Amino acid sequence: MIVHFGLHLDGMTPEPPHTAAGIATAGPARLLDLLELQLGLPTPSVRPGQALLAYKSCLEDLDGPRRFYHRSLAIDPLGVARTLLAWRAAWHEAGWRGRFTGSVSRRLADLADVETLARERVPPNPGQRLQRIAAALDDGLVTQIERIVLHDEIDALPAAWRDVLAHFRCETAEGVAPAPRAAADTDLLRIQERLLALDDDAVRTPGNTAQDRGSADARIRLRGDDSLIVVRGASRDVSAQVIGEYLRSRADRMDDVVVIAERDGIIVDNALERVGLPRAGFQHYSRFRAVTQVLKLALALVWKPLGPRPLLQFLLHPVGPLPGRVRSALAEAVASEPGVGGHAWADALAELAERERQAAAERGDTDAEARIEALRADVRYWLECERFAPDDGAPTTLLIERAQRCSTWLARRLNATDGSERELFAAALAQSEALIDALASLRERGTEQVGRLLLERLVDEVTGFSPDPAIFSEAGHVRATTSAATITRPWDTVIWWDIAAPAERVDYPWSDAELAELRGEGVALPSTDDVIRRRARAWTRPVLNARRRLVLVVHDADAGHHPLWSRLTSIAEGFNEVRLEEALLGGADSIAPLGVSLEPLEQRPLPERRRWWQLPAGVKVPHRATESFSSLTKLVYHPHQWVLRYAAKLHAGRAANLPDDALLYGKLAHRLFETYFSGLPNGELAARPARAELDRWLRRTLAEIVEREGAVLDEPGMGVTRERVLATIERAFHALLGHLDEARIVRVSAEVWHDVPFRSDGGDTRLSGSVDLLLEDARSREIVLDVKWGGLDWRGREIEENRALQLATYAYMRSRPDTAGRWPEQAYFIVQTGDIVAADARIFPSARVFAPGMPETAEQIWRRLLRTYDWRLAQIDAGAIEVNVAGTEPDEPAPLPEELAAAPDEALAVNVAPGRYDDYALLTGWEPGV
Amino acid sequence: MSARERGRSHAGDGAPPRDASRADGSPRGRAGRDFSHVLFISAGAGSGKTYRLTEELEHALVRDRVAPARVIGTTFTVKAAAELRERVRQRLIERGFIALAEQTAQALIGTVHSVSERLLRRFAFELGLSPELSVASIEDCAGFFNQALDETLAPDPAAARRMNAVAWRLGIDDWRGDVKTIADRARENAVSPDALAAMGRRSADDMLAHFPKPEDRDWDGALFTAVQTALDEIDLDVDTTNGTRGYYEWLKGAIYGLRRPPVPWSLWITASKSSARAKSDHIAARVREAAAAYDRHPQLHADLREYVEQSYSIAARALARFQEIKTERGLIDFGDMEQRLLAALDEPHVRERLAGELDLLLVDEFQDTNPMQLAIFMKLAALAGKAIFVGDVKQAIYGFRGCDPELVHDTLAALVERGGQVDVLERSWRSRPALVEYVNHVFVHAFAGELERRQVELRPQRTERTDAPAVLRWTTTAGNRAGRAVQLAGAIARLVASGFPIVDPDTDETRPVRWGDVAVLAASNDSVEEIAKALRAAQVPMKMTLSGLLTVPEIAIAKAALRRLADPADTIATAEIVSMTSGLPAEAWLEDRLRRLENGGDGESWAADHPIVARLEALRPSIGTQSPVEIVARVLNTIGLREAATGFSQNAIKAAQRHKNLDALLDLAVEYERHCDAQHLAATLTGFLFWLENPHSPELDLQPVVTSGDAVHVLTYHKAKGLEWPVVVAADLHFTWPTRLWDVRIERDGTPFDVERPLAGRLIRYWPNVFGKHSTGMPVLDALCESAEARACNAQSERENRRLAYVGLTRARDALVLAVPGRDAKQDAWIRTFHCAELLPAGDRLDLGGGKTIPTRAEVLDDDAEGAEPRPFAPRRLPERAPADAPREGVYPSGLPPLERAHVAERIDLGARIPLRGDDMTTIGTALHGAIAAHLVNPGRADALERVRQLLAAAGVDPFVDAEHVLAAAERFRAVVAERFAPRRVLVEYPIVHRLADGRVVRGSIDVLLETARGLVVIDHKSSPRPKSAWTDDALEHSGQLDAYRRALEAAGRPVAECWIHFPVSGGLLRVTGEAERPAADFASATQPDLFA
Ligand code: SF4
Repeated sequence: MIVHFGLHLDGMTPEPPHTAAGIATAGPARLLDLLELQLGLPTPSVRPGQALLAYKSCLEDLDGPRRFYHRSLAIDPLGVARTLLAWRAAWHEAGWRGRFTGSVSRRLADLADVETLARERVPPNPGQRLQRIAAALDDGLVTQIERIVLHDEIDALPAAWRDVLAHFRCETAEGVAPAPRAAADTDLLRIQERLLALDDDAVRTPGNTAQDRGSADARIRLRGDDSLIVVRGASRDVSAQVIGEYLRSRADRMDDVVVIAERDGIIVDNALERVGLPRAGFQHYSRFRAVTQVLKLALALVWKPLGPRPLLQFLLHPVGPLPGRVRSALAEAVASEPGVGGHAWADALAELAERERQAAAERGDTDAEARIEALRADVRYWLECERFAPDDGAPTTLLIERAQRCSTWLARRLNATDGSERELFAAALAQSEALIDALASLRERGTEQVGRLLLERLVDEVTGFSPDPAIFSEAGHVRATTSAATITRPWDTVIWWDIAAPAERVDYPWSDAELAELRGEGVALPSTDDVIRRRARAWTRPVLNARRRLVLVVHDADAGHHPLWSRLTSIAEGFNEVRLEEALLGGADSIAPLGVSLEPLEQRPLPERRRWWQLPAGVKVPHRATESFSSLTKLVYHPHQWVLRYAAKLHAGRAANLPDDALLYGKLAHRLFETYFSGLPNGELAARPARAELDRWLRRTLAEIVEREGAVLDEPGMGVTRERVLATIERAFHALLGHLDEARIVRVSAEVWHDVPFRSDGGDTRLSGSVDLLLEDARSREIVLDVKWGGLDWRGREIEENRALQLATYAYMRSRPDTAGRWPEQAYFIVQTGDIVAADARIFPSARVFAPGMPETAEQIWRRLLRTYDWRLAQIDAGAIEVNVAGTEPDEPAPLPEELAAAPDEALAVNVAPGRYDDYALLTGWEPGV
Repeated sequence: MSARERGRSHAGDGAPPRDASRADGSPRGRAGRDFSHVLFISAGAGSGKTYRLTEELEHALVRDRVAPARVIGTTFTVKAAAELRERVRQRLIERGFIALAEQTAQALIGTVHSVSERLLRRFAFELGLSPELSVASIEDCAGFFNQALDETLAPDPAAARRMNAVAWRLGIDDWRGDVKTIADRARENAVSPDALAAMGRRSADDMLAHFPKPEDRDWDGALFTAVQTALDEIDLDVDTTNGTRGYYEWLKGAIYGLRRPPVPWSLWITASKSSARAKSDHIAARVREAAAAYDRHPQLHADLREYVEQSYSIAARALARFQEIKTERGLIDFGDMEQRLLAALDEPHVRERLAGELDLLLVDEFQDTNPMQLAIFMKLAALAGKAIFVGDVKQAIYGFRGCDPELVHDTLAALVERGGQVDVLERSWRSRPALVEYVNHVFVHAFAGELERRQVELRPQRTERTDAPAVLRWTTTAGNRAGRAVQLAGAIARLVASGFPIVDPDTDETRPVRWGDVAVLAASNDSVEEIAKALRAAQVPMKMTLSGLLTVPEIAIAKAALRRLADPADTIATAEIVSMTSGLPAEAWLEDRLRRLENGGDGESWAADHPIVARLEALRPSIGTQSPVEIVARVLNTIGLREAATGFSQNAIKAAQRHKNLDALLDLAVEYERHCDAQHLAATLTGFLFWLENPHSPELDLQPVVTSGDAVHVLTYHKAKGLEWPVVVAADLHFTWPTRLWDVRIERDGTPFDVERPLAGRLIRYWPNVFGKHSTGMPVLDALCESAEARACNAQSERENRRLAYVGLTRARDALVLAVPGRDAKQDAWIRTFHCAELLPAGDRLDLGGGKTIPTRAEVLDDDAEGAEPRPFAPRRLPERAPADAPREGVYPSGLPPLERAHVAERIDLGARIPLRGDDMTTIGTALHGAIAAHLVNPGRADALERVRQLLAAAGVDPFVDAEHVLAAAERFRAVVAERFAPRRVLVEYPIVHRLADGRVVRGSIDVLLETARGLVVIDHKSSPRPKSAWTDDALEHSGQLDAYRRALEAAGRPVAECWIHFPVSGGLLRVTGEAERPAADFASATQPDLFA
């Protein structure tokens, strides 16, 4: 067998596949496996996080105040273990055998001590495996490898590798040694030769001024031919797509073109897919794939307080241990009332049960109730569970059980899934099992409770970076690689996409003195200068190994350029350069040097804001069977909202906007009042507990309400806001009782539901809604009290201007038929200030009075509302929808006949300012020039 | 020899003598440390600072042979660091020092924070830090601070409520902001939490000292009575003026407030300042009088004291908890980095190592270092072989960010006193001579009293190429900011249309000015927006830093797409995509949707055929396997958003901006994942959408600046630092900078300055502003504003604003336009603080005195501004292509289906079954494979059994199968093979690659390949535990795999004679053969049609 070996050949290899037998390509990982197999040495199989946790236990067992890692270990045990594991791995690769013969400084000595334990407990790292292989070879064992072709300079390999390779016949691949390959009289050849000439000088040391050639125009002048093309751009996506198009035009020679993308090659693949070429197989590794995060999301539910956002993340996740329909319905509830166990939550569960029943009936399934109970139990287990304070921790046993339930679910899904997600389920299962192991070993060591921070770190430790199983290399793809160093033979065309500053620095974490000791002990770490020099040389391979054409794609970046690119621009000028954005936006017909042709882009301006929309004749806008107060105001003031919401049925998503402002606070106050007043026997106000008791009740009840319906306030960092809101509600509550006493109210009913005919004079339309508070005073007068969070002045002005529509609407609902046509009194209660806002102080002596100049009765206002309603509907029936948004003017002419354009005499004035909240804002158009 | 080693051995030559005592940390005697190895390069605007910095570094590396690894350099921005590194590298390459050029990567050059991070990481164990040093983002830290605050207050909710109440009375919206600022200042100035309480008391004492003594009287009652009386007495029928009516209405509202205490102090203050019209003002006067007593009101005194003291003490506690929270999470923030590094530099270990490993310290933009950084630099300088600080005290403009120019000034002075060298760069390379003279003239005046002439003046180096005016005065006549902006925009359009000559910075040729040559500097972001709006209206191409990234249309579409992916029920999202990308009026899509619903269509799948929605829907399956970043990347790049965004852009600059914005959204996704990573949270698409709704920092909402393209750049004076343009329009010179009196400020408590302890004696002062927008006209307010503290504070900001003007006015290369309003500037206007009478040109020449005159121009702008001609915009796109439907490249033989007509031609019974305990056949099978392979490669070893045992143990299958049995199975296989096939060679795990005509590639390893006289024999092990009766079925099951191996070998020119399946567990060897049939799944119809011979 012949093996092609290179440091970067475990991943993508640029070489096109040739039909062949007995030839293997391998990077370090693959060659290790291969050697072990042939030599009969065990290849360690390691669970995620296993080595780390094992090494951590070694560090801990030998820990003491005199250990150099002592203080750091106390702060970040996993981080320390990871770091030192890497140190030791580097030493092993450089030939360390786990002990020092001479006396060494503290850090080295400590790690040698730790190694006495680690040798047994920690699965062997590559360096140790190589040492074992070398020993086996020394022992006379053989392999069937005849020859190894090296794709890196032998000196560039770690010492342990060199020891192993010394047992084989090795030769070096052709293109590893630098040589110019381009045709005569091309820019490419010029730059190759120049680069080589400089490389020969590489040994020159500074300070030797005799060799200093100063700055006397050292640059060569290029002609700008097509052998060397520089593509510059701001966006990597655009450049990748351009490269894709270029490759399309070269499709016939796909085997002799190579694309280098050292990072984020997935962008290249996405572009290849977009231009209709097969994907080259670039991967992206992430620990944030949906399936592998279920464990974490499910564990996050055991902490209190439970914020609605983590809750919604769990509920809206693409997969999870609860069925999608259940999670989706509960998400809906949480989105309207953020929390667990509130009204919306209960309603959602009831509705789910009902739907299960129906579905079961349709299937003829008789076991519906058991199924529902099982679902209910699952909801209780995952969501309505006991929660623990993050610092105190949750019982280890409970966490293990939760992880086990995740495992069970994952295993079930794994078996039921085929296709790409399988690999992810398998990874997630392994991760869950590893977590169970880790927790179990904690329990064995006596840890009864695990705090949130530790748990989350453990989960991270066992969550590896996984590839996206849905992407893979496709048949007939262009040759590609993630490492410039793999360009070890001449290629017709080399494309280096995104040649950018490398992230990693060459730097040892050890002091000069320690390095000297290590080297003295035979740990053959190369000097950083050597590493840098070799790295720089490897970078030149793509340039030197291009025969006909080299394309360099350089992006704008603040963080500087790739050293090779700096080098090229320091030795030459006059590159054949094209700026993509300029070509695309400047109207060029093609991206010239690459021969990629461009097409005109159709310009489609954003819709502008217009006051009126005109639907073509024949488009029917359905009317509503039941209106509510909020639909009425929409129709009257913001007809477009009414149409979009009720006729076009456009709804916001559940993740879109969690209420976390006045809207939410108002709801909480409502709920508190409702809870209190509906708890009074018969609604009688006199039956009031003492103040102290009341205060205790208030505090407790509010906390519950927040947990169930306003958990946004429980999220971290919201404490001050929470106190402000709760204090305001408490103050308002007492103020309200004060007002009620002053007004000698005897009975209060809360949230009184009404469903009445919309018109007293007939028609099918109905009107429904709840009156916040319905009061009855000592003189048996009935009062509608509507509770608002804030906006005192605004409400006052409504009353002054005879357009307190909400009060009029509720008054109408109360007016019939049981009250014999009598209309109740009305007022607003403003939570923020604790004020009653009314047109006079007849009922509430301390009301803030906003007296209309020409008072109208609720009945009159209601009649105006009806008139306006009819007029708006008629407009809409005629296809005209008024769009009352900022940036439009009320006097823009309506596309309507006179009688419909102008408001009828008795109508309300509809020119109110556009509302602050408009879910549909982005649908109403844009200012010019945004 | 490594860089470090070599650096050490060469360090002596060019470097100044090293101070052997540097590492011991003890200042030497009263005289203090010697700083003669420190050089300060004072570099005025345009004096070639960058060039000099590069040169210094190059000299150090080449002449003084300092190893790059022994250099530490700090710059103000990431970009500046990259530029410095790159410049030096280029210089070295040009001079032929290739290896050295590559080694510059070793130099620790970066922003202060990146350098601190590296150093801390290097010394993590010495300092007891996490070696991973996970850096928390500013946004996350803001979150943690709030959390810390919560936790501090949680045990006593009443305290939070009290604070809420006091703040409400004082009219302070966001007291948490104040607490955070106090905490931030404390950290920046190394003020310990313990010291804060006393500072709070001191602040309150000092502030209340300017108030009259509190008097305990019924002030509330008096005010209530006064207001009530006024309401009774004012007769709106008699006094019908609007003024009095308004006053009356105000009183009406006030009385409600007074009735239900607490009453906000703003009500008192307003009452003390409000008046009615003449007829009724005698009544109002009584209200004023009653209200004016607020400054003696004991409750106000108490409120102020409580507020200030509590803010400090809460800050102290929250700060302590904040630090804990980060520590628990293994996080460290920028402030910590500085603090820890400063502490680290006192550790003997660290000092010793650094003293040995640091030859050169370079600090760029020295004037902008904050106090903590300054302290760090002083310590580093003491350890370094040589230190070079480069900066310009005239350009210190970050006082508002916690920098302290006075501190920098004192430090420099102290350095000089201790032997430090100063080198003043005297030549100006940037501006044409006339401008240099002008700036010299103006700022020698402006800085008189602070700086000497030689510290200000530069000698012009460029030659004068035109006699076009160097300084232009544009007098705007409009009455408001918007109007002035419109006039400016018009004037800019005219200037460019007129072909005003400038010198091209790249070619050095004279040519007419273009848009991209012009910058407009404004005082505030609001002003920037206003000017940008006017330029846009005038069709002038323009670029600027805009906020509101998350609300621009292209991002709105992208977000809509993500929302739809996250939740298909988000039909608004779908409508948004359709509305914004189809170029149609709303009616068109609305009609479509209504008709669909009317016909019973379902709402969620509406618009499925819209091209963008369709492509988006095609991504839906991937949300199960992709991470948020990957999903965002796909959405941005594969559904056609870029084309759509270009399609609704008005010009190329705008389109380029939109593309950058889209890229920025991807950066945000990356940032989100980083945030989740640091906080150990799950990252999901839904989570990303939530995170976008609550960006914890305004920084994240900034649109990236388009750097290319021919467009006028509009920006603030602050942001202009370090940049230059041929023409600079300096706007807002009449601006009145708001006082900093009400900010949390840093003062010095009178401790004498000590350069080695620059942070000693720092005092944090805070006087909350209860006066709202009022700036004068109340005795107590006047007293506060006249206080020594206020005067010092104002003088300080005046100085800083002058420096800001210096920065702004020195950005111009060829022409400087001073835009000033026609009306006389206010007394406190910015321009007045330059104290320069001849600042504004009035005609064609301006006399600078001493016989120097420069060409100028003065213009009065009016409204008839004509816009510029819009440039034609005809964007192009790459062709739209259908996706390729290519199959997976890799074909894995073991996954291939069996052949239809294969059959077993021969069976060899190898003997007894291997006894197995357990059924995890995958693991056992792998171990068996391994054992057999090893045995075949190295047969006949004495230690064979032991080796099998190790293999089984390592695989964890030793409880399930015995090594003896495994070895026996391997041996019997080997023996039978030897006897039956007499192979020349027995190859194991033999790799094959077979490229099919359609591009797919068959890859695999043949378990055993025999080279025999008759040809190759392929054998595959199957560790099925099933009985012999199942052999045939099991063997045929793998006929496809054998077939694939065979074809591959034959395609490689190696004819195959036989194919066998080996059952090591049940002890069988079966020969599988077949007829010339195609496999059921036609994996390679294009290759050889014949199968088993
Ligand atoms: S703020 Fe700090 S981290 Fe950010 S660029 Fe400046 S120095 Fe670097």
